[in-house]
Amino acid sequence: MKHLILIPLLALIILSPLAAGSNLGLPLAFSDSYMMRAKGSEANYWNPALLQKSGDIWFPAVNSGVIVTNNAISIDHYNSIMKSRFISPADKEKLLDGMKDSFVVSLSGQSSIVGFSIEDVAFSSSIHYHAKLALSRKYLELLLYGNKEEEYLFSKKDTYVASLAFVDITVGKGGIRLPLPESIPDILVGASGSLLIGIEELHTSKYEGLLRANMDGLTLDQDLTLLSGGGGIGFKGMVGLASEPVKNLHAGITLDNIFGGIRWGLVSQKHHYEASADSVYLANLDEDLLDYDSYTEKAGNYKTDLPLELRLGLLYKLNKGSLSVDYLQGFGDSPLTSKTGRVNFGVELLPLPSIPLRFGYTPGTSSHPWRAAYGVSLRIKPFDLGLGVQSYGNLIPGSSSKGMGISLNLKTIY
Amino acid sequence: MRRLYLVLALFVLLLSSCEIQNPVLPEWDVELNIPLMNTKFYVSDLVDSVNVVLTDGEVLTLRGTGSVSTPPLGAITINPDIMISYIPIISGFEGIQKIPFSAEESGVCLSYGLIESGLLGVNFDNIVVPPSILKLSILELQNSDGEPFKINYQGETGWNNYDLHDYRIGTENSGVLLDSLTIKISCQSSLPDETPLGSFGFRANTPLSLSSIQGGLNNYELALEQNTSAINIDYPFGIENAIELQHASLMISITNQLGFECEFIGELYAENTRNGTKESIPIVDNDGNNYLIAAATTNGPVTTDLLFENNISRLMQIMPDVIQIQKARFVIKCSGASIGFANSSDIITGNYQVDAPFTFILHNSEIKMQDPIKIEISEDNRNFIRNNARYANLDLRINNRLPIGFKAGVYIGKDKDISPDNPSSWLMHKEIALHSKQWADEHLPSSAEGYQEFSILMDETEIQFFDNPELFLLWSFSFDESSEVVSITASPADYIQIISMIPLGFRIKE
Repeated sequence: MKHLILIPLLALIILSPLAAGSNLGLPLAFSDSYMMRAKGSEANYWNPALLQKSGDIWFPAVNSGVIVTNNAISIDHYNSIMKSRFISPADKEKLLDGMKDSFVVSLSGQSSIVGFSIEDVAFSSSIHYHAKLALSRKYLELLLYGNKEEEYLFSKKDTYVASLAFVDITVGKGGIRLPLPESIPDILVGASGSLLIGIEELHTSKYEGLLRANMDGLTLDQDLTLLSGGGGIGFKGMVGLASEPVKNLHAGITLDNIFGGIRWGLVSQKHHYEASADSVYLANLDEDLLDYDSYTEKAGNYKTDLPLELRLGLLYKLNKGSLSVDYLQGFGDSPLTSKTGRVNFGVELLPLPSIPLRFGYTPGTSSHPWRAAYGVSLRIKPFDLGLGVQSYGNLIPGSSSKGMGISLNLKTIY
Repeated sequence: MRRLYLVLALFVLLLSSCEIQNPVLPEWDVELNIPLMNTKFYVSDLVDSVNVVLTDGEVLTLRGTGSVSTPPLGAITINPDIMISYIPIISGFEGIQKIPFSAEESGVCLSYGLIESGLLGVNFDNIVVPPSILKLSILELQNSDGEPFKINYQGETGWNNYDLHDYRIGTENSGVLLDSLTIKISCQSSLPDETPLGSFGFRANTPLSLSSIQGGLNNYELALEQNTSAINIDYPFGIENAIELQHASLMISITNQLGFECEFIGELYAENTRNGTKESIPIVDNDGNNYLIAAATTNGPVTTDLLFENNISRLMQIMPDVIQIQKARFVIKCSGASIGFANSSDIITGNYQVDAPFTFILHNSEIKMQDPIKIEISEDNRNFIRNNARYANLDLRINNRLPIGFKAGVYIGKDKDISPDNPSSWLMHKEIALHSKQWADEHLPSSAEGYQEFSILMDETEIQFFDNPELFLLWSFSFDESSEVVSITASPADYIQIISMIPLGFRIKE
């Protein structure tokens, strides 16, 4: 593959970042600062309080997205190493500088099945897939430099694998005004509930690792347990509030993943992998000094919790545009959520009402580099055709990015 | 609309600027720290209970053994030298006549003997009238049936010899020495009694061989066989130039089949064939007397153990590679005051053992292996070394619990003719100097726990020497000079422990 092929508009492949809410459509162009901008079926996932007096139809299967990101290497850097076929000391430093505790690779995707909204009710369904692999920074140091230190310790905290695939069937209702005195601005309330049909799940249940090499010999200890499940059922709920406390300033708050979780029962297994060697010396390699054992056993039913996630959003409408800022805080780590809080900024400019321009920015975290987003739409009723790009770790999308996203969305608005 | 096209074109331009190279495995340099070994080499591992043993105080001792043996005693030859003539033959005489018997001139006092070969001569002379009956018998000379030697006169004339093979002379187990022979005469004739009829004579003046005797042997010598085994010592690595042994002992264990006490006369001989030095010392007791070997008894052979320590260290200090008992013989000095016994097949055998404890003074002389060790390096390893290896070190922590310090070095070359004095004959030389236990205890901090640390470096050029299918390693050692005597013991606390790691720098490649 020499060049990324520009996907024809009709292919409508959307690449979107790993984020709660939704991975479909316009949010990518705003770098996920979308909570107060969602309308129609989207509001089921962003803020059901915004379900009111609108209607849309999602085209099934054409709104799909996949994204791959990492926190260490850009395409430029990768190309440079592949061209030179050599990893220099400077390359090693650059690779390790990009990560804190772990090298993280994320893969996520979402594909719409069906979606429509009428007035203040919406129905939507989509399939989700999320995967994340984290490898301790110390493993990379071992690989790149060798065992310069006497002892290396690894744990589930910095080395783990997680994947989750499920289908959601979501119904939402919004636009409900709270009965408040007239002096208080209207507050709309909404809620959505999702039936989650679990397809597969895998995560690291336990991991402890030790590598020690000194005059007392080489000691190795690796103890890994993976828990996997297939066929599950679950639920999550979302409630949202929206209001316009000041003219043109819209504010909202949502709490997602209420009672969130998927219980796996059809197939559940524990996979154990253990390797150990105690005080091994090169001179004794003819003896069987490495003990290795792996076995799988049935596990009982277990539950994947989806921790609560709080989102706060502000949207300020200007004459020819709008500014938004979202803050997202998860209350636990999972394939869908992160305990690390994140702020997303979005801007929309309307040089022409039918051609909005969009910009977004999200500062980096320990597991994800910062990103910048750009988008444009063509609004010719009833169609809304949008185009967006996202760049990780670099202002301009290109080979200097550590990840990229491209989005197209097509929906009808009535 | 133009603005839209512009924006779309900008996006296409951004997308088309992204090129991704095909993945290939790049190269990079790493350094691995590899634990190599952690081994204790115990002095007690040198003990093979044959050539290297432990003696009192767990002192490591070099032991050599040899054996001695005499040829079989063989038949004892005596010459009685009896010549008696003109013994009258009297008609009607019935009586005995005693003639003296002695073998002392042959060095034998005889009480009993089994004749293997010999002749007895009898002569009848001047017979006037042949007697009707003339019987002569010697009572102390009996055949295997116990019947005395007898002659019935049949008209013989002149001397006639009679074969004494398998005759016994004397009385077995009598405990009495034989000093005379008793001749019994019986004569009858037609003439009146007391009429002289003639005369007869006896002679036993030719050697009698006895295959078994009881009695005494005086100054009878048994020499050792010529092919007595020697002790050959093969000093490893030319160590004989580096150490000076201080003590040694000789244990001789002699088994005597002869029923006679013997005196052992001999000397211990040592030779250093490399420089031609020779030394010998007589094997005598503390008073300078020859050792006595006990006689066998009727129950069987008797073994006598002799421990000889006098001056042996003088012998060992020439670092001999041949030790042998020489000029050795057994002398029987039995006057007959006590009766001994022997058979012609009897022998005297012995084993001797030289013990040289590892108690020595050390000299600073280089000890080199005689031949270098060849190592073969596989093609896979050579490929790795040529293409990937960058440098290697050998980090050593050595705990020397022995009372000796030494330098250990290795010369590495491409062919076997390595000469340390000729630098062009070797590619690389590495050496470490290991101090003794005493030095380590006095000079190292307590945190070191007795470990001496070394680091042997090999740069990229030296690593590439191992890109040869064959290399030869010549090891050399030289002890630290010692002013005092050191003893090497082999207790569980006597060992050298080597712990090592290899920091290896290499390039990872496809």
